[in-house]
Amino acid sequence: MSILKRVYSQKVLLILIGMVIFASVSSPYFLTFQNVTYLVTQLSIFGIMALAMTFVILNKEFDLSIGAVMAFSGIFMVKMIPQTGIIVAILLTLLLGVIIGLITGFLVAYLGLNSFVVTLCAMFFYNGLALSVSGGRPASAQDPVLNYISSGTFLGIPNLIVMLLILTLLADYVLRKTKYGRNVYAVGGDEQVARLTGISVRFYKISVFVISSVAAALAGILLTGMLNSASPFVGSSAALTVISAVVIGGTSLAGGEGSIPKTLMGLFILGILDNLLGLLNVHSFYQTFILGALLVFVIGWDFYARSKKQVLVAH
Amino acid sequence: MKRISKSFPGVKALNEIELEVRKGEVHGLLGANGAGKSTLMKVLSGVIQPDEGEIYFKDEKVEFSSPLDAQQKGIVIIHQELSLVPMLSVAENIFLGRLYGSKYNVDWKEVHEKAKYYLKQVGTEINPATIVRDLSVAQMQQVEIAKALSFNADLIIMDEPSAVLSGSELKQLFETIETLVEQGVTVIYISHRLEEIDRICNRITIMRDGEAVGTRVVKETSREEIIKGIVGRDIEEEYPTMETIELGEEILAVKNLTQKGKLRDVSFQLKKGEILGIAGLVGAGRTEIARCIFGADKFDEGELVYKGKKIKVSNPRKAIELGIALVPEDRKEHGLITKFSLNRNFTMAALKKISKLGFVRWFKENEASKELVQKLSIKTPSIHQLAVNLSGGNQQKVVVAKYLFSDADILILDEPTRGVDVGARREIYTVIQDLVKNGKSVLLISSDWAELIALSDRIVVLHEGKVKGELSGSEASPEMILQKALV
Amino acid sequence: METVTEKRNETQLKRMKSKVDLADLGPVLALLILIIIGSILSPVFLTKGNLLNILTQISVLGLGAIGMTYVVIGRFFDLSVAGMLSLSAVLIVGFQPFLGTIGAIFAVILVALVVGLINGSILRFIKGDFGASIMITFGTGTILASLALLYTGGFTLNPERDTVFTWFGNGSFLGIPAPIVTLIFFSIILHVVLKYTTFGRAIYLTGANHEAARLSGIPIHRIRTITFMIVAVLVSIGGLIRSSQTLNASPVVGVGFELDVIAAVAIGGTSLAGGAGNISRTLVGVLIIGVLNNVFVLMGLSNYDQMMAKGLIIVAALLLDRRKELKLVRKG
Repeated sequence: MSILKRVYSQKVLLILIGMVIFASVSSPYFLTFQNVTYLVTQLSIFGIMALAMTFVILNKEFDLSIGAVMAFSGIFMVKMIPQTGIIVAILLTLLLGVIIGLITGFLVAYLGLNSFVVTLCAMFFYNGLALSVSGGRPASAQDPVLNYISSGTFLGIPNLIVMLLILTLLADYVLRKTKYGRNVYAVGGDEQVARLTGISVRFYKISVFVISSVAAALAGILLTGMLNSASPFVGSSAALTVISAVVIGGTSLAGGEGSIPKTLMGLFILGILDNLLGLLNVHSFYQTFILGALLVFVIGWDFYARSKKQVLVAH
Repeated sequence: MKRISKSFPGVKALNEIELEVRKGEVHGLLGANGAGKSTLMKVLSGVIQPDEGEIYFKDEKVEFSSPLDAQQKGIVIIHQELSLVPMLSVAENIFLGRLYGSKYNVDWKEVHEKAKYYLKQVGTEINPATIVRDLSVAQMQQVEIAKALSFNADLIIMDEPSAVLSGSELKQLFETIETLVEQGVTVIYISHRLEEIDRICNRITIMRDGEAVGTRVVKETSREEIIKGIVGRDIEEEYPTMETIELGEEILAVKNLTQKGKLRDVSFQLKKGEILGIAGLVGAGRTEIARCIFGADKFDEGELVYKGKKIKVSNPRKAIELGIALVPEDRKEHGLITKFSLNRNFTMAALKKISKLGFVRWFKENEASKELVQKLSIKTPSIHQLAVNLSGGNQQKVVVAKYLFSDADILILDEPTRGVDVGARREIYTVIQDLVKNGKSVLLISSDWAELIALSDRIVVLHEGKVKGELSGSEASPEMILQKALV
Repeated sequence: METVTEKRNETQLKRMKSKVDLADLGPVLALLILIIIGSILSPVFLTKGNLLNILTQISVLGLGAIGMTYVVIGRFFDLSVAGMLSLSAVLIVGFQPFLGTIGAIFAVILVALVVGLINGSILRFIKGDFGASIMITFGTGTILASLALLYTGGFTLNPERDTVFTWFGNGSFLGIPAPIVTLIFFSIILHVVLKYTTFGRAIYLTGANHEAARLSGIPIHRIRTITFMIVAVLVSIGGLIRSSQTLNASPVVGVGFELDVIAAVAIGGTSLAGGAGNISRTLVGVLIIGVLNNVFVLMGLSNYDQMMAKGLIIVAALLLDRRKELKLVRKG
């Protein structure tokens, strides 16, 4: 029983291992160095946003606007470079992320709006803004610094992977070891208890939206560097993918439960799935379908398991 | 070491209470439901502020702006519903919001060690790394107490801690309390189980109707005295004398009703025109029975026989169709739709009766509503008034009216007079009387035993989900009920 | 004592009434102001042609919004309407060769019923609340959108232009364009059902307090599932109209549709808290969006600017809704 339980509690890891085995059997190319590097590089941009989204969901909130914020940030930066130079442009873009997060956070924490609906509106707003500013065309950005950041390597490892690694360690450290991180859990776990303990719930709600918006801005910068241009059309599937990764990893939508390693596992499950479907030449429309089905299943499961638990507690 | 006096003018929740608790004692606080125990303790722990009166703590006048404030000054309350974050570890819950270490580096070793230390003080060996959700309720209580100690609490208030505990767990709790007292902590223990009071408390204060009746030393006080204090004396005149009504044949028989962990082998019969009282303490399973009969919850074993036929009530709709109705305890959340008008509330359980081919006939609805307002003399300027604007007693009547309109033959009334003032209470009694006069049967659940005795033909007393006895209304006394209910 | 309470109740009731009236008038006033702005901006605005044009353009949105009103009154939410619009638009055209236009229409309505049933059943099974309904329908909407793409392989389909098919988008009835007629037709039906039938009443009761409704014997799950089915069917008819209007069926026609629908419902003043709202309010909301779009065009704003403006407007509408709610809470 207890062994079964322990195995069950690691089900996400098992699925991940199973997928790696299946993938390496079905495509000999899968476990090559190039493919793995390619896979992780591809994942890193969404990965950075997934790390941030973990904070948001741990806090029992939701952010659908990250894709749009990413797209707008890229455009914003490209438009700033000629005026301010690359370094200042990057800093300003990150500042933009802070401001966007503050606005969303304010609407949610102080005015009590549902974060799902607010960020859905925000998604359309920033999408519209990105399209409007760019005139609906990709804006090219040939900048050596930017290019190095996204496409260069460090000790033979792509910079993006290094960055994902550093941010993962940082996020994990913050969530496990700092008071800020623990309070994120407390607020998501039980807002009422947290408030009674003297934790400023509003501060934490706002802060997680700032984190997620800044991560989206960073993702926009990196993506621009990678593609050498900023397109207003990128990021439409970002929110869906990132939220799926976090939830599939096992971070509960009920808040207060989850971790960075879990998110990483969810991210790799999605990444391998994507990679595998690509290797097997499955059309991308199927991938969206699978993603949607996975999302319904995982969210449904999350709610279902919770309703069962409540019955048990009531008894 | 402490003198408290406070009063709430107007509302009778608390009326110039004086309570004195000495350092290092376990002070019992007794009283029937609604006597004001919990309100008093909320004041003491800073959850609500008193309108008048003063609190002295360690010979100093204190004022608490919030529970946090009270905690920091050394008074911690442990509620029935625990305030722990279930997904976090024991250690983290104990130090929630004030973990050891620097801002950027929580010292988990220290946190766990200190948690272990406080847990040991409580007398438990729970691993501080355990996730709270995986603990038993008794263990969660211990964690709460450990948390209280970590605030250097001098006074810990426990609000009916035993209500959620089983026998062996209760023993654990008592051991914990004894350990606390040894360390010089003062405990206020709220309960209405006398045997617990006997075992654990040094002195008790009895409360009734928002007033402190008296403080006694437990050892020098007999059970009878305590019961008398809780029940009070001047009850007779509050209740109407019931006209005797000829009882008809059996309308409902509950046979061996069992719901896992809540009800065991509950059986009783209800006759036409009868008022059957159901008595018991909090957690005895009264509401559970009501919800099972009404189909709001499922039960595991047993059967219901209604009008001579075995029935299956899979949901409230089925029950209502059969003629069984439940006027729930929480009338604002479960009984009424407060933001809707009266007539909409009246007809919601019997939309069929006011419709033809699925279309609502407004005229019929209004007519029926006016009739119900008159019949139950509901005080309202109009049937289009929103339910939220009615007084508590009138709201209760609206819920009753709703099921009268659905042609219920059996009405289960769960605490129909809770939170209702005296005048409205009397009117509700009249309504209940009229119900049985018209051939309906009533299952009356109430924590007010005097009320139960005055109204009921028979009273079934429950204890921990089991029927502990049946009393006839004429022979019953609050003392008898209490004795059976306590066992 | 009693008289004091009564007096207080009376004044409270009066105060409430006046407030409710103002809140109700808000959207109508906004609409009037927009119309005035429009007519100042352009002499074309108040011509019959332009007005009919506005109405024709909002009819698909209107169908989705009146259906969504049912769901929202029942205190749920449906984000899958966007996927449903895309899927129905392509399926109708795709089915035409096999089933004929009429057969295809019925087949797609059947698909819509199944989609609504699935949405409702999932939420019932997982005992979902308002939040769950948002997230689950977000997921099912994604599936529907991908199905639309899968079905056409990402291409736009060309319909058979028979008279039935073209009528829905381009025909007219008594001189009124068919999309408007369809919207009016369904608005009347939905209005009557909501206001005058026990089913309509049950939706309100379910949305206002589902536990009290359940304890009063109302089949809340069935009611909510039916509202999902209704919105799906109306959206699928919207898909038919859209395909017929443009004479092609794009698998991405629904992208962003959910936002417009939410906007219309919220702007009209139907509270997301459930238990309140009606069809005419939503129609006012739909009209506001239609006129707004028209005014945007007259002002020379791009599609992109319109997206931004809509995002802002919905947040504003939500804030107004939230303020009303808070006032109620404070009173309770």
